[in-house]
Amino acid sequence: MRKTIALCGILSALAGSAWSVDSEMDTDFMQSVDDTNKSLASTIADKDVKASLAALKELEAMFDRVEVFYKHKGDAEDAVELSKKSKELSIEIEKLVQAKDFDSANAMATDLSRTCKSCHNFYKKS
Amino acid sequence: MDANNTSRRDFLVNTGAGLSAAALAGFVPGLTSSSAEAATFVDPLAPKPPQFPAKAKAVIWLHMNGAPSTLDLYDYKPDLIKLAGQEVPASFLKGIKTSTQGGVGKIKATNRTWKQYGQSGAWFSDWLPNLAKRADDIAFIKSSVTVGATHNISILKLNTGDVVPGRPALGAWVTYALGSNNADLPAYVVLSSGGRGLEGGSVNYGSGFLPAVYQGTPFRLGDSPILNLDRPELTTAAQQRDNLDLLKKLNEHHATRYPDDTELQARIRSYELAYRMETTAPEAVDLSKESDATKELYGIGEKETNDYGTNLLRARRLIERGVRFVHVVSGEANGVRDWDAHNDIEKNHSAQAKAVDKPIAALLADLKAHGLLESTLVVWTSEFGRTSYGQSGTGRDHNPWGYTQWFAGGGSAAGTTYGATDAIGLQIADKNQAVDTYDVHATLLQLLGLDHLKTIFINKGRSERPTVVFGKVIKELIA
Repeated sequence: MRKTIALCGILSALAGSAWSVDSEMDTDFMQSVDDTNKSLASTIADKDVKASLAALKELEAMFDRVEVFYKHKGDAEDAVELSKKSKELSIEIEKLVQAKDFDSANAMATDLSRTCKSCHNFYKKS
Repeated sequence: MDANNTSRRDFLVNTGAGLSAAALAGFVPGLTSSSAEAATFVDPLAPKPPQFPAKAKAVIWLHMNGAPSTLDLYDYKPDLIKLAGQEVPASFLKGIKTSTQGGVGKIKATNRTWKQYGQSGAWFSDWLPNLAKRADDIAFIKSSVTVGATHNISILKLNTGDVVPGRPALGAWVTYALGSNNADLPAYVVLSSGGRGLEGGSVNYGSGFLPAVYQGTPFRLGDSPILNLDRPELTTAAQQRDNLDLLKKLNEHHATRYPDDTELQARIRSYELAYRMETTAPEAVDLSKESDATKELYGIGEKETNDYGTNLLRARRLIERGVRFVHVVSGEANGVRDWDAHNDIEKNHSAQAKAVDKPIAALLADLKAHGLLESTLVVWTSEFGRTSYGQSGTGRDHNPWGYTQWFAGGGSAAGTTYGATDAIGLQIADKNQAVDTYDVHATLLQLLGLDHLKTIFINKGRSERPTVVFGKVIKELIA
């Protein structure tokens, strides 16, 4: 009996995690990504290393979630690839910010924004 | 001070304080500023140097309102003619979401004839016989993309870089960054030729979160460009000056209570500017001193071209007098209100093309003759293009996936073409060459000597720039 209860618990936890992956990709989440990206553009323009790195860490975690969501959803290879590319770009920008090369970081941040946008062209619900 | 017992001296002292407070009121020039940083009053419209040597000093922004089918003007596609009447092959629709009312129609070709012009060999249809002769002045962007839900949204994005109201128009950013070259005229003027007009209204030339002093000033067609600008008949010039002086003092006194109210500051300036404009604006738009040959060149006096030609000749005169950014919106032509040809594209585009072809060709020739084309960037733009497939049998739907815009003058790469669309002109051929509205803005600013990434205004703690978080300078468009 105890084993059955434990199994049910594990299954509902798994179901819950699948559900939460779905529910996390809502408008609010995408708005948070958009807002954090705008903050990043601002903090790079301000040459604020600490705030830029914080925004980049947030973005990297968000892109991880986007990647997991689209892997789970299936039939969305482009989105998985673009999420990966977004994370890679974020890591590159992080290096540039740490080196205080804000001009290059600024230019690469526009690449990151374009990558987000190309994903939206295919997957954003209208 | 007891407000009920104010002496004339108190009033004047406080008015002086008002002037000091105006210094703190938020007009902060320079490219990284906020409304709260001003320590001393500096004219917000004083000319400012570009960030690096500029190729262009001024911009004429020609918005083709309603979205022309550039496929029928510049983008010659033999396959479109070959496949006309057939269903669109699935390969052409891959990756796009169509939402055409009544569904995607069959591939449509209009009754055009095509020829190559100039040394560049650029293609033009028979709808633009005059502009075709200026082929070598033009740098085409044949891989334009945008967001194409509705006209309002896409026009707003075209003018402000965002799909929701609240951001400054491009002309406002330019004015903020470079100031005015003529204290007696607005730095940013909007000329409209009637018809549907900008449905979104003044947000398309507003200053958004920038101080209101940078917003565009609409001029009307007719002899009196600004409503109520003329001095009332029964008021003498001296009386008017006295009235304005009093009004200015009262407004400045009032402004001390609202030091962050840039609208109020802009209003104080606008009264003074309006006073100066009573003489300068009518002269700037008065075409009576232009030669008959010039008027004829622009099509002034001809029914189809009179209004648009008048606006373009005025645009040249305004640029000549130091206006920084002239935003011209195309309008009604032969009973057709704009380029939005969901039905009967033959009738619609015949009328619209006829209205703009001769005047735009004249503008380019006239700017060149006056030695102004080198320093004036002319941008031919629209909110999106139109589909290769038909809609309702006789028209074309909106197409944000691939269309043509162009630059001329102002240091742009004359006689060149950047990007291309696919074989039927529906989508861009190479996604790496996509030119979004942000990229047009970034490239335009670059020609004006401004780095779009470093043209910054601090709004509510966030550094904002004209291209939001996007923007790429298209180097191939620069000579």
